Amino acid sequence: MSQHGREHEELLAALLAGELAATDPRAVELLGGCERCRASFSALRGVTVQLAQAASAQEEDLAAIESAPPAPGEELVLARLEELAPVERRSSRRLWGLAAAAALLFACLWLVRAFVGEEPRETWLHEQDLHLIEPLDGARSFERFTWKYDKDASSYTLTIYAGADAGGTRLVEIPKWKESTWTPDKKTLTELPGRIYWEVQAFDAFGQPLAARGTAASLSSR
Amino acid sequence: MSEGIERRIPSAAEDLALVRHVLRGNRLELPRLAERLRSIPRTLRHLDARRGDPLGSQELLDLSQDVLVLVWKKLAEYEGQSVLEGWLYGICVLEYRNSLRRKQRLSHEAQSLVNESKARAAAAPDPDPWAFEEVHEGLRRIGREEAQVIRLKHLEGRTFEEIGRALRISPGTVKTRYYRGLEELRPLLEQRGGTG
Repeated sequence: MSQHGREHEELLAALLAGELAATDPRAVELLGGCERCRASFSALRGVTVQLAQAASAQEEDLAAIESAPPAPGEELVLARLEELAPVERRSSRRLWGLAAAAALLFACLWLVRAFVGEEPRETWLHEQDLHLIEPLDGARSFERFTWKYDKDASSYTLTIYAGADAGGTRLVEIPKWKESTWTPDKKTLTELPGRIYWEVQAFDAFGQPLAARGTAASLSSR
Repeated sequence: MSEGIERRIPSAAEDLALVRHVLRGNRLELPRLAERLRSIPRTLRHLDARRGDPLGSQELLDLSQDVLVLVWKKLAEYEGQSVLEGWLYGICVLEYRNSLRRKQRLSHEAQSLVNESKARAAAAPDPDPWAFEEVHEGLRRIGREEAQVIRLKHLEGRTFEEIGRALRISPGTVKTRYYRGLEELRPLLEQRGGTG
């Protein structure tokens, strides 16, 4: 199969998926001029019909399920999930590992501060391109949340937790936010505690995550 | 800008964030996830009702529990390509079918019920109620990348262009994966009753 031209495969794919009309000159030329493409098209058309039926059945089922009355067993889901979900336990070895890593990080930060004279402004997790700008520790207020993503993102989700990490109570979640700045309204602002952890996730146009980063922030004592 | 602490219609991206939070050990999110996983018993009951209730309420209850455990084990595989209910649906379809087959093997009575419902299905208009289960099973057996493109194309209704952007590959590569996926899928579907 692999020797079949890639160009032919792409045209066949578009034709089979309905993205290229059978009357399109490229389709006419393909099916008229390539015997193998004709055979392949005729063999695979049945597969796409079955896929379309499956998609239609799924869509109908999901609509019916959404409006259906509760089924027996639904009331047990949370209890079962609570049994299945692990209680966060950290072994002493892991704690020692974390302590060593924290000490190393602290030493590095101290060296940077001593030699460069500038405090690192962000908590770097996995992604290099997402920068959390404000608020950070010692902030005067939480009136404005600002971040910067170096690449193209279609939207962001901002989540704010109480406390110093993502294990705290989730206070705010702003999904599908188009801008890289968010200003809480007065009510939300008064509800935010003095110490928070905020996390930004960047998504592409299809909603696929591109980057995520979080940082703790606290209000300076006034 | 009246955003704040509120509930919204979840998107696949939000579902992915929810799953990640739970898997990171945030138990405070468990009720929110449980709310979504309630679709498991509901889906199984719906599938059973379509067949004329061959499993019955107690077996469905047991199956719901088994599927919930399975979903929990597979949760890390959820990639946020569809909302949770869509992802759970595929799992429920396969597990329901497996459960029905187990029962078929063990019980002549169940066999006759299934035959009866098959006969009803043959007389029913499209879509064939068996066909979609074979499609889900086939998608599980072909290459992961090919299955991913076919799912996004047919079950999520995306264009090749959109799929390319989402997976960060060229539309040409998407089409090639789609075409090769169909070729892999064809013998699997033919084995199970012909594709016409």
